[in-house]
Parts: sequence; structure tokens; C-alpha cells
Amino acid sequence: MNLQPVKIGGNSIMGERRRRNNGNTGSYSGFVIKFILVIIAFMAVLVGHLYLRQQSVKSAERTDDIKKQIMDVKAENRNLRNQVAGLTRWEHISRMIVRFKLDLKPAMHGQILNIGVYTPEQAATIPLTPLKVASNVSFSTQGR
Amino acid sequence: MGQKTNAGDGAVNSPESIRIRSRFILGLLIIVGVVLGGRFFCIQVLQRDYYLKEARRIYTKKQIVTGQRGEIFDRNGNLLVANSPRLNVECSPYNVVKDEDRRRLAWILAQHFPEKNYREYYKRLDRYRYVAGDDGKLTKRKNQYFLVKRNASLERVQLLKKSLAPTGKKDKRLNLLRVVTFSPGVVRAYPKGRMLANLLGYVDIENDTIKPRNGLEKRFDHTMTPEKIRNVYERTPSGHPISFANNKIIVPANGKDIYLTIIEPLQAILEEELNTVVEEWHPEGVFAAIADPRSGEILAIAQRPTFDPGDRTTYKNAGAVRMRYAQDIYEPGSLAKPFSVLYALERKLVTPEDKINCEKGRWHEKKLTDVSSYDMLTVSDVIKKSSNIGTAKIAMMLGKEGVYHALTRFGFHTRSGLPFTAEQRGFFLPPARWDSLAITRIPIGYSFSTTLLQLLRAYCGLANNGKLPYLKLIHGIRDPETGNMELVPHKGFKETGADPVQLYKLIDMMISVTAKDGTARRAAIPGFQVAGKTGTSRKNIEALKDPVTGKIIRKSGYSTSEYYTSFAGFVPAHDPRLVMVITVDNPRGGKGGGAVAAPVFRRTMERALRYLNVQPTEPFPEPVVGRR
Repeated sequence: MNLQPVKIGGNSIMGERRRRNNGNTGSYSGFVIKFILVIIAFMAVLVGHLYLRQQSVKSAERTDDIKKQIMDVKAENRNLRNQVAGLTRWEHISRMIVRFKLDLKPAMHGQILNIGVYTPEQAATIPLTPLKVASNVSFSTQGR
Repeated sequence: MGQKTNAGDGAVNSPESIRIRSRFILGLLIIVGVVLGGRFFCIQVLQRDYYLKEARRIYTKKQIVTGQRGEIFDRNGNLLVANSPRLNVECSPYNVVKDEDRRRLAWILAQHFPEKNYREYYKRLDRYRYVAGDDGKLTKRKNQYFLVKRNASLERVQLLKKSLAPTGKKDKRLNLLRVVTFSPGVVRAYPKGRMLANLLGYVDIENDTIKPRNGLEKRFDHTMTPEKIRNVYERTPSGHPISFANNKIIVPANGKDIYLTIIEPLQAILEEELNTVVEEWHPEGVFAAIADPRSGEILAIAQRPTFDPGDRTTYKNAGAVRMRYAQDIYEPGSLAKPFSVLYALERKLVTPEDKINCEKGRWHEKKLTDVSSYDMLTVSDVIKKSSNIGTAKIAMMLGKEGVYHALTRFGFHTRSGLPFTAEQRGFFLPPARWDSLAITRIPIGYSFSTTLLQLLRAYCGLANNGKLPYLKLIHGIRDPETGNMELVPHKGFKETGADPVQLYKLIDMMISVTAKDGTARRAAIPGFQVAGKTGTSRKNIEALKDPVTGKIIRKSGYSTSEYYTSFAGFVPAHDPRLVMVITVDNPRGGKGGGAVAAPVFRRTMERALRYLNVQPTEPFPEPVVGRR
């Protein structure tokens, strides 16, 4: 299709515009530019809005994924806690004592005054003092 | 050409031509506009509801979310009943297009979940399934869901994921992790196995809903049941909630945790000792409980036979599942004797030194016998030797009402205060309905029945200076959301009106029971004074008929070969920390409470006292350490 400026009713459109604006056609370009700028601004806002929404959705998805990971970790923790509860039951411990021939015996009354649990590093700094024992307990070496 | 074009242009650009073209375009635009407008009208107005529904169906997700069921702990926070996280392994067979992938997936599943073999998995992984309609015709449908394994453990799923994952970047085969999906599930776990199984109970799962069946699981179901919420939210194509949508996702509240008064190590000791009884005496049953007399708190309670909540095959035996210590009623035998004697002491009818004629072990008038033939026994010795005749004669001084009061004031024939709906009150007729022999039978523990819990409470009353505590099992209820523990208040004590001075004398008599010449010398614990009483009662059995001939093989009545043997005691005797009652139902090869039940008391209490660091009250025999 021919898109050249055309004459309507014997007058060209440009000529008409020139007459209306005292021989100057610049205001038309200005209008177009302004219009385009408005459109661009509108589009920028629209695209920006869409972009931010998209980012928001992505962040929400990431948050949701992280939440799921946290749930998984919590589930694993819970699972491990249950396993620990199973392993600390006396029935299991007594089986292990037999299996590994630990030959552990309960302490007699007064035999243990207190038990210190130390790391090897801590133990190295503790002075060796004679263990205080209850007066009614005697340590015999007979029968060894 | 140019001229032609120009001439042509003139014709084309003629006003008429332009007018026609513009009108044509305008008309076209109007038509398009009308069509579009019409279509919009159809969609937005006429078919609005339909499209709205369709759109909502696609972008809206409905999800029923349930919180965690409350868990059960012992007093010190040791886990007794837990929620074990699991994963349901699901698969979409329709997405497995290639037969090679289908075979690979079937093989992996068969390796990890051998409940089905390779062929079965391969068959279930068909892309299509055939559904029979009402007319019996088979319809071909997409096979989009296959539940591979319900509630698989996390460890197994971890291994499965490793097998399903692509071997590397060069692996161009179908990523099976996109076909197999995992949804969270949960099962009720009992990490301590058989420990406390009867008390804790168990649950079933019906239509993904927990149905408690027994024990505390049932009794405290309303406390432990979590909130169930239906969340509806708009979602993205990947299934996540849309951040800017007006979604209200509510997190459901978890059920409340229950903390028992039980101390797990004491429970373990008691259970282990009951196992020893079973090995040694092969009884039909054995049940025992330990309580703190000062508060009535149950510290350990166990029975054999029992069941494993994690193994459904052990549920079949009804005797193993029910709480025998609360539901089984039996005649306590000599365990009832101290109560009548105490009341007689209080009413100044006797003193510990008074002598009673024990008829040389056979009182013909009242058809009553003793195990040994005693001539004259002091009241103190009546308890020490557990003389039926001596006790009956003391009770006769009290009269029917006196004997009834002596027992009922210590809680016999009343519930113990524990939250068991199935707890029995026992059988105890009012004095007006007693026959002529009842006055001599009831004080020696016959002609009325009781439960182990009633006996435990009564002995707590003796140990607690006559103050009868209501037994307590629930220490507190914890809200997992806030972490706040709401302690269950104690119900208090019932005053028995027992005279502490006379009670002290009675306890001295009961200490003599565990002395060298007492009936329960095997209950003596080195370093401690033990007050206790043995009890042996004949079982009241039903008649047994021959199923074929209908002849009576065994008459109903008191058995001469089946017994309940018991021991009840507390330690240290004058400042009791622990009360324990144990009953052995029909031990093979031994019948006396002193021989069967008393040693269990000693072994259990020795270990329990050591665990609780209760200091010996008596000179302690010197142990020889280092000798084996």
C-alpha cells in the first residue's frame, strides 16, 4: 500500500498542518515524541511491575523451597531423636553390654561419690588426688 | 513502468478509492470489534461462571494440613511415644514413555522395596490402566498415579533417591527423579519397644486418620490430637503459593505433649526384673508397680505378658494388651491383713504383745487353717508369720463394720485416681450381705477382690502416715507451640484417720516380716529397713467341661494348684521413698509370695534405691570390691 502523504479534497495533509501552525510542522513531531515517551514510560512501568511481580514469585518459590528444606531437616532431626530414644533404652544397652563383653556391674552403695566426665584435655589439667571413698567401703585386692 | 505506476497511483489514490478503502477497513474493524466484543461478552458475561470455575480449578490448590500429634515423655523428658517422619513414594507411570526406562525403574523399585518383585512393578508401571465401567467394558485411561510405598523410612528413601538420580551429565536417559515423587507422611513410633506398652496403648490408621485403640493414646486422644486445617491458595504452575495473591495459609496447631510421672530408668529396672520372674517361674502373668508414697506418683508400672506396639502380631493375645494392673481383679490374700490389725490396734482391742491362740494351725469351727501350726502368737507375730487364724480372731473383735471400715478407708473398692476408664473397682459386699464366714475371710484377703492399683494406693497410705494419696500418672501437659508446661495438680490426700502411733507399731511388725524368721526374708535389702507383707491367694476358677462329653472335668471354686502370689512393701520403712506391689499369677513350681514375689521386690528396690541415691539407713554390710 502506498503510504505517501496524500491529498484529501485537493489539499495535502502536510499542507493543511503547515497552514494551521503558521508554516511549522515541528509541533506534530513533538506530539508524536511526547506520545511515544508516554507510551514508553507506561510500558516501562508495566514491564517493571511485571518484572517485580515475577521476581516476587521467584523469591516466594525460593522461600517455599527453603521452608521445605527446613521441614526436611526437622524431619531428619525428629527421626534421629527417635533413633537415639531407641538406642538409649536399657534393653538395647544391656544387649550391647553382653555382646561386647563389657561386663559392667552396678556400683555398690557408697562406692561412687561423684563422677567427673572430662575430655582428655581437661583430665590432663586435673591434679591427681586420692579418691575419697565412703567409710563403710573397703577395696580388697583379695581373689585377684 | 514509472509512468504506469504514477497513472495507477492516481487511480488508486483517487478520493473515491481512498473512501472505499477506508470504509472497507472501518467495516472490517467494526466486524472484528463486534466479533471480539461478542466473544468477550460470551466469556465474561454468559460463560463467566464456567470459566471462573475452570481458572480457579487450575490455579487454586486445596490442601488439608494436619499438625503433629502430641508425644508422650517420661518425667525427665525421655521420649516414650513419638511421631516418626516417613515419606510416601509415589510415581507417575504415564510419564515413563520408553520401555527401557520402565524396566530400569521397575528394577530399582524391586531392589529397594522387595515387597513386590520386578514383574509386579513392571506391570504396575504400564502407561495405561484399564478400568471396568458399569457395563463391564474396559476403558483405557492414563495411568498417572501409583503408590509405590506408603510410609517408607527416610533412610530407605535416601538410598532410593541415590539410585534414581542420573549417573552424570552424560546420562541422557530419563531422569527418574522427575517421575518418582515423595510426599510427607508420619507414623506413630514407640522407640522403647515393649516398655510401658500396656499403659501407652497403640493406634491404628484408618483413611489416613489416627484411631487410638488403647491406653493413654485413647484416654488422652483429645489432648494429643492436632488441629486439622483446609488451606485454599492460588498457586504458580510449579505448585508454590503465589506471593502477591490474597492467600491465607494457616499453620495448624500441634497436639499437646504429655509428660508422665514415670521415671524411665526405674521402669527399665522393673521390666527387666519382671522378665526374670517369667524366665524363672513361667507364670500366667505378672504385674507390678512402684509409687512414691508421699505424692502417690507412679514411678514405674509393668506387666507380663505384654506386647510390642511396633509389631502387630503381638496384639492378638488379649491378656497381653489389656492393663492387668487396673483391669484384673483378684483376692489379695494376706496383703489385706495389716489393715484389720491396724484398726484393732487403734481401737485398743489388742496390743502388739497380746497373745492370740492360733489353734495349732487348724480352726475347725471356722474351717480355717494356717500354713504352719502355731499355738500362741503375739499380734506382732500374727503379721510376721502371716497367720490366718490369728488375723481372723483379731478381726472378729472388730466386728463386720469394723473390718469393712478398716479396709475401705484405705481405698479398697474405690478407683485409684488414675486416668483409666477401664479401671475396675473390684468386688466388695457391704457388711449387711456378708455370710457367717465372711468376717474370718475378708480380713485375710478372701471374699473380696481388688486390683493391684488399689493395693498400691493402700500401701502408700500405710507408708504415708495414714494419708491416702490419689495415685497420679500425668506430671504435666506441654504445649509445643509455646513450650509452656502445665503441671497437673495433685488431687490431694484422703485422710484415713489412722493413728500415727499405732501405724508406727504396725510398720515395726511389717519390718519383722522381712527379718530372718519372717515370711519375706528374701525381701530384705542390706542397709535398709523394709516393711512389707507377703500374700498368697488361691485362684477362684470356673468349672471346666469336656467339650465332647459335656462332663465336668474341674469343679468351680478355689483351686488347689493355682495361686496369686504377691508382695507389697515400702522402703526405707520409717521414711519411705518407694512403695512397690507385685503380683505373680500362677507361678509354676512355687506358690508363696515370700519365695516368688519377695525376691523380685528386693532386686528391684536395691537397684531403684541406688539409682535414686537413697542413702542406707542401717549399718551396711561391708562389700568386697574387686573380688569376682
